Amino acid sequence: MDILSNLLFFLLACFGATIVMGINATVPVQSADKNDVAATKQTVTATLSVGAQGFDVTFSGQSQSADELEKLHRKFPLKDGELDFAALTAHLLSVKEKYPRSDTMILASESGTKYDAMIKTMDAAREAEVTVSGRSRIVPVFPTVVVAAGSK
Amino acid sequence: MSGGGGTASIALNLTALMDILSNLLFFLLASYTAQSVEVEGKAELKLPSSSSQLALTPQVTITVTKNAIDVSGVPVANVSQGAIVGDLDASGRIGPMYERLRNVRVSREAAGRGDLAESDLVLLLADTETDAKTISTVLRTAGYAGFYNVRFGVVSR
Repeated sequence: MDILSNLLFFLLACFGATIVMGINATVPVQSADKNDVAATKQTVTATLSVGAQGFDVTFSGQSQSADELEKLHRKFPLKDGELDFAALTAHLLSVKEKYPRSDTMILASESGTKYDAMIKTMDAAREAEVTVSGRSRIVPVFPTVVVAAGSK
Repeated sequence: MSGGGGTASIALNLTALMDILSNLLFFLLASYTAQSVEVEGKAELKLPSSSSQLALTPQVTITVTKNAIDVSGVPVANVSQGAIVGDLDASGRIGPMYERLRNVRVSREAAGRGDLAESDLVLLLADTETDAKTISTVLRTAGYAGFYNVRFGVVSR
């Protein structure tokens, strides 16, 4: 009975340990046959810069005109001193609706940006909650992340 | 009239208690073994929280705490105020970290495990306060060493 109780309390203590999950990303590599720039009309690639001024999101694609891509360009300054994740998600979702096969985002973080902000930015870009026919559901937005290795 | 001054002897039945304890024990044992990756508690490492539900599998682990960077437990660089202490090499890599990761990669290939799935994947556990520049440098170094895919370890929200 004593042994059992001791084991129980030990396992209860262990059970309270941190459960770690993961977020996948890739590092840019030079490749002769692969390109991160989207090549179909339904696809664009987002390039998101995060820094002390907020978010700056631009889009690239091989099948869209420069004017068309420039219309998607947005800057989201800090809101009450914090990064405006809600506005970023809303804009990325609107782009995703227009170019539904898009899934790749290049994340460039300026020096001085905290790792925590990088993770929250990836969260904001990965998925969004939408309401379809009165039902709320989570849809992927830009879940594939390439972390730009060159930081300003 | 019954009763009197005698003390009644009550025998405690432990069977039900044992049953409950045993059930709890097996449940916790199952939960404990199901957890794929355990992170040792470190005062200098506070992982960010995330909504991600992607489970982890054991990988080569790069840990960036408030004071140091290590690869699978071997220290390769020091960190101060979120930035790397010391010079980088000509390619912008952390020299000792690159050597360590290359050794891991070479020994894997020598053992015939170089082409396995996720052989180019590293798990990055970094403190929330780490500067993005440090993260970029770590990722660049890992990329040079052949680890192109990274999985950021986060605490489930």
